[in-house]
Amino acid sequence: MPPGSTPMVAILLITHSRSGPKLVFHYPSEPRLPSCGNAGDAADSGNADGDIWNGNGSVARLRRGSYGDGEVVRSTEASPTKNANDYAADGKVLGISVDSLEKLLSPGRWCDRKKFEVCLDGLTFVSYPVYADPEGKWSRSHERGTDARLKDRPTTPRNASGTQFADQHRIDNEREPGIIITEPTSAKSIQDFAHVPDSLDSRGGLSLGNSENSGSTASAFGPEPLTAFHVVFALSTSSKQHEITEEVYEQLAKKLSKALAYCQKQSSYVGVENRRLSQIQAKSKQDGTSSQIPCSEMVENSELASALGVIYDKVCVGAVAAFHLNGIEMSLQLHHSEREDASAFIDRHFTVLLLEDRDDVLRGLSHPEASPLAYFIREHTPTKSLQKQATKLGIPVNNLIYLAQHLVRWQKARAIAPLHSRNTYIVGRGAPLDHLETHISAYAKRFAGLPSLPQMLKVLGGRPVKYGLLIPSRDHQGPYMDMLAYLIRHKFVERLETSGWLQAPPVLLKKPMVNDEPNKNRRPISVASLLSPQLRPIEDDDTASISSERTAIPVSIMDTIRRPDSATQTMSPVLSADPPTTRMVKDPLNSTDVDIVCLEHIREAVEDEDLRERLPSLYPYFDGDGALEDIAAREGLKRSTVDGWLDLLQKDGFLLTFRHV
Amino acid sequence: MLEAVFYARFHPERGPSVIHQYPEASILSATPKDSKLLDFSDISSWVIPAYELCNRSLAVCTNGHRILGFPVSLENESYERTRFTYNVCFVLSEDADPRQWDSVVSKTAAFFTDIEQADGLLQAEEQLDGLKWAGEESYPAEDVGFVYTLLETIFCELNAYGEACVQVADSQVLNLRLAVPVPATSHVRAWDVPLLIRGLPNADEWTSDLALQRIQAYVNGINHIHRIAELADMEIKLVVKTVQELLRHKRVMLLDIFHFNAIYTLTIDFAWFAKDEAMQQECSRYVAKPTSIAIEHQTLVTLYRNLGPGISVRDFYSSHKTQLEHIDIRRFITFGVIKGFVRRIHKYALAVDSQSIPARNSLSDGSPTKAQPGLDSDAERDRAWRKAAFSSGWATPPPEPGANGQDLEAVQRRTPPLVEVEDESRDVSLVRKYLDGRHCMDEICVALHLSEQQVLNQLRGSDVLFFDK
Repeated sequence: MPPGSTPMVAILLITHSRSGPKLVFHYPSEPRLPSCGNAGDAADSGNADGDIWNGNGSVARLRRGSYGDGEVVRSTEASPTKNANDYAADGKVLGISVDSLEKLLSPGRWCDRKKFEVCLDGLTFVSYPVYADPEGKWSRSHERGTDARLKDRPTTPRNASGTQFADQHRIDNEREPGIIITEPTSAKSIQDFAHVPDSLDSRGGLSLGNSENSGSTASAFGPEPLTAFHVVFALSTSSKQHEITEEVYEQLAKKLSKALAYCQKQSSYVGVENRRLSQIQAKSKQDGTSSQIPCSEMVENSELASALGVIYDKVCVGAVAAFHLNGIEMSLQLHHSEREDASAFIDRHFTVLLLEDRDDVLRGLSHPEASPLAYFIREHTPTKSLQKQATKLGIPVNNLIYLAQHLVRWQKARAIAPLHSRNTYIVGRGAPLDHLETHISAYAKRFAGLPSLPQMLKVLGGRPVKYGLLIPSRDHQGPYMDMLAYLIRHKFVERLETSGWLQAPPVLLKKPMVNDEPNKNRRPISVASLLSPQLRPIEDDDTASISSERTAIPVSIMDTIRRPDSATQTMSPVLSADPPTTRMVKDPLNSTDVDIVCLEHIREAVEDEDLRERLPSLYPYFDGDGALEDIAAREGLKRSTVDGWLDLLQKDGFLLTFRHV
Repeated sequence: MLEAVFYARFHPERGPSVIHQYPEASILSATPKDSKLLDFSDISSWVIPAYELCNRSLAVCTNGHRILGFPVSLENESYERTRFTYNVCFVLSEDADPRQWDSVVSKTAAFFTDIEQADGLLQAEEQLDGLKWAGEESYPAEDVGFVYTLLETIFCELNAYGEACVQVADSQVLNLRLAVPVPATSHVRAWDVPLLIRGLPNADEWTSDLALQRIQAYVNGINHIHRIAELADMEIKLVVKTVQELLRHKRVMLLDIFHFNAIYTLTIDFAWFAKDEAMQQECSRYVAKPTSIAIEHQTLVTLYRNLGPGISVRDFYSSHKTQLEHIDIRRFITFGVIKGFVRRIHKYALAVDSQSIPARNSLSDGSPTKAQPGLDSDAERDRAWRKAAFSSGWATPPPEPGANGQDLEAVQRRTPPLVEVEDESRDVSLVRKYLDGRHCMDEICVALHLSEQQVLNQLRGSDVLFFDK
């Protein structure tokens, strides 16, 4: 199961009329059943053991269908193909006869606009049933739904800044036409509804104008008006069953059903589609054609069926499903909670990296030439932070953050630290080596004449170097940064980050630290090894550090309880007289008095004036967590200046860094 | 937390009916003022579903509750309408994790089926004089029937202890226990190194797992799975399965193969190590050589921070020889890996000539048992022979005459000569299979019984590039 996907098995559309529930459509035509009860752990070869271990042995016996009714219950050996054949042969869906399935999935009015969830032996069905009012009318009773839609509209800076956008860019932003990748609840859907050309002939007579009468319109379509409908999502049981069911309910079932309820209220949409699908079903039954044909025919002829198909196909691979309902554009996707958290806020010092080609993203917009989003996409560059881009484009940064979040939420972009040639990038853990061949050719096509993907992997997968050193000339800067964007986008490489702490070497601490130091028996740390960013402690030309290197071993021997070596004992009295040690400021934000003294000493010892002045504002970055590479962007300083300062601090032994990925 | 438990059946005249429930007024009650958990009529068609849906677990949610059931439908001439359909349902909060209840529900259903099929107790219960049905006045009738008491015991004991034991007849005892959620099994590969992080029970008392008994001596944080299989003279998939079981119980964790060509880097968690004195103390004790002295904490921090991409353990060791004098370098690295602030960077090989990259499916990298080394005829013959020996119960001959099969050195000594006599060209073709950039060097080495240097030697001159990931 790829990341971000769900264990979705099928989507079913069930409608209710006076004659009872009816399974009108399901997608795919032959749903694959999970191979066993614990489908989510299908890769788990030890499953059978697990069951036994749980004291579950009796289950197998029950499932074997040793009962009088002779019903062969889906056993663990049942293969998907067999189930598929079952369906084709005897009209079963998911191994259950259509009749039973319809009954299983027809809750009463108690479930109207509430969560409906049934779990049947490894399959979870979840939906949000919508009922007509007790008289069978749709129009009045669902005002509530519309209210909810309005209430759900995002309350983001967008609304506040909309006019500003329009003023600045002379864009008719009233309906935000550019943002097509929008949630179903946005106001735009409602407004677009009137003018979207009807692609389906039978809906010709229905429009906003007669929506008042749509209740009676619905009844005109057949003797059995629709009393309820629900779209049921069938999921296979997985280890995270509970969370996934909740996500599917909240993000797919509920949103889709609410949208359908709106369409139904406006123009009897579900009723019309229901009738159309039933006709196709009836026709195929008459003709005696096989069961697959109506499914593809339904998808071709019914907008709703094709929408359900798109939802299934896309959600299964963790992508955004974009479709039309009654001509209204709508998008759905499953946010896994962690992803949602990640996209909740994008720092202004970050930027976004488009995950598709710029032109492809623009093509997806309904008004690519004139919308703030399109403008942002066209002008955006992953090498500049949102803050800088805002200044450049003359757009308030909060608006850019909103647009960036929108792109991230709909999987068109990913938040990243701005790309910079002074950063070091190395081959990432998640590099998609399984799809290397595809990438090699795609990359070669795109960056003809530049180093090939394998060559880049070799260079970036060796000893780490600053990316800028790979760029042969200034003219190559652009293409090389594009290459880097490609590599980052596909997760071939990631940034090697540096974090660290400020520290006061013993020399600085001699006077004030003698009393404060809790552990007096510390040996002086090898300054040489602290200084060197790479592995050159011995070659360091600082003579003091070499002497401390020499003393290191005897001192550490000295302060242990066991002193096996008499030779070192003779040295210890001399050294223990003055045992100051390097003091690291672990938490500069909650620094102790001693830490404050240390920081003050460090600041005073810094020779560069600019740095001395600026240093206190940089303290928070030296907490061991944040990347030192981000300092320049966050503080609005030149990267080369900051790098120079960090080098100075390292050279003087005031900075202890480590690199991590 | 169980909120209620009830026993319902399809009654030929009344339809789906609750016969017994515990607590007394949880589902049906005689007085309307009692607060019921749910409305039975809403869910009755899922408690007693169509026959086709019986004999498998079926749960439904309503009113904030999750009703777990296992409807059973028995067919017999003696029953009215030749069918007896019933269900023992467990009511939980909708937010509760139902997985640990699944086995309880199905086992209870199986138990009810047993007592009905063996002694007809369920049918007999309804014939008893003075039996009150759930929802009737003065329910439950005291000392009439056994089902109410049974439900009460199940309810109380499961809520109190997470397990229940009820005896109904001499030979009918119901034992229930809430299942402990079983974490998903991790993938164990031939080149993973299991390390015990909690002791195993004494091998003499631990008789149920023969495979574990056999490999226990070799699980030392140094041997990889493939070598353990060789040393213990076992099929590799048995070793994998056993280690998976140990992983599931958090007895072992998986490390990588430690060698001097390996590259390690820090993770962001290093900040945590650098700040945590207690952790450094632990590290100091763990990495110090047995006869040596305690290691300075600052030394440890300094040493660790010099690990990074592009620096092999060999480079690292030679640059910090003095500081590492009293440190066991393997334990030094392993400590970081165990604590999660050091991670291995693997080397991958990629043949630049795209024609030499085999088709995707030519080599499965999914299963360690499939991606077996040396799929040449010798290895296959050997495996076939082992398989036959295992199934027949013979002891397989030791790997080498004179060796007792437990000698690591023997295996190590044995390996290089074996390779040297192999046909050089065939070796290269064997390596070729791994050059699609999807196989790390450890995997190749383990699969081909070669050292990393030997693999590199074989590839010398060919158009292969390496990268670390």
